[in-house]
Amino acid sequence: MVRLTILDVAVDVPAGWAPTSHPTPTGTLVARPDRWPGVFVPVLAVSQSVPKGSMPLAGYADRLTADTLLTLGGHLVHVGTGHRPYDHVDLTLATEAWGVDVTVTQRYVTTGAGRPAALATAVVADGDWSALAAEMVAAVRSLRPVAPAGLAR
Amino acid sequence: MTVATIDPGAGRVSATRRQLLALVDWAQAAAASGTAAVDDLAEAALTEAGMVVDGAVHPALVPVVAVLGGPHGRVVVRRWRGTTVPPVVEVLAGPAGVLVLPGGPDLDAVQDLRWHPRPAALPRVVAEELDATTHEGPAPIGPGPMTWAELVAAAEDPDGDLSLADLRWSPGAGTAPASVLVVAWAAAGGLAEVTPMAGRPSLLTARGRHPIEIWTGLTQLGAAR
Repeated sequence: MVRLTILDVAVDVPAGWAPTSHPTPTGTLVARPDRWPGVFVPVLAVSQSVPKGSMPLAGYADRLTADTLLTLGGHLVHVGTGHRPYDHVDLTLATEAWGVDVTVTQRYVTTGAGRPAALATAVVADGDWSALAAEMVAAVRSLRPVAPAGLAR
Repeated sequence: MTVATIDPGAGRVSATRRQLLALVDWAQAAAASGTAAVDDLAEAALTEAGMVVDGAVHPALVPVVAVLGGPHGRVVVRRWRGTTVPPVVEVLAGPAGVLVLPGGPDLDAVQDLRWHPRPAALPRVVAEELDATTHEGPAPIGPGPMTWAELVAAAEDPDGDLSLADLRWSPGAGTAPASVLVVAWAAAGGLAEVTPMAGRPSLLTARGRHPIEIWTGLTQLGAAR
């Protein structure tokens, strides 16, 4: 497990992947395998997203879908919302980035009213997707809020 | 002869299969003989249709000819939904990219061609043609057993919301495509993969699938090549 302290969220990084934190204003975690035989190295990223505010989850799903499709284009594979274990939106699409055909899978988690929300994103070349799908979906869906250090949940 | 529509600026290139096959034959013969004037009649017809310009394949059709001339993968998508039967879509992949022939097998049906430059785009192009639901949900059909006729009838029911698709794959133009995925879904969400029953191949059974599982299967198209 890697904990991203700025956001007070955590994800389960696949074994053998090296996580690095980038000192951006919101904090970003990026994890990649140490070595990869393919042309495109798969990546798992966690970043802060917009505060939840008062928008209902379905509204966030629409916005996330629209924003992601506007940014990346591509074919929407899956979109869904849920409330367990935390309010979340899931999104998977097939698109092209950097001249490579990739699968992007995301989980957006709200961490409570007035608190920052977080987004976990995995990007994998389509040619590698069938081998990594289960691991990437599990990693992205492991995104969860954690209590600040020293506080009991 | 039908005049092909070649307007790359507007994103439109269309021609019939008969024209495309003639163009591929002409281009391959020209390449083999080292001269473009291998068949005056064919060249005249293709020139009249706008597919040959100044004795060479129209630039917009060069990648089309390249894919059609030597595909390493062929996907045929048949779909059923309500009373309107969508045309069979053929997706070909070769070193020159991915080509979509959306107008069915009729030699004289006009094909509004779509081309993608990377052969690795094949799964995404097929997924776009499949256009299955993106929402998870309960399996839209029971586990069966059921016959193919019953399944098609359910999809063709104008009062139902079931869609059905059969994806067939072959590793090249010379091999008959074989079914690799039969999937049914409800407009409101929920997918099921349909497979022959063990020991009773004339009967079918259905199992609920997540949309990501269907996508994962598509990414394996041609993986054994």
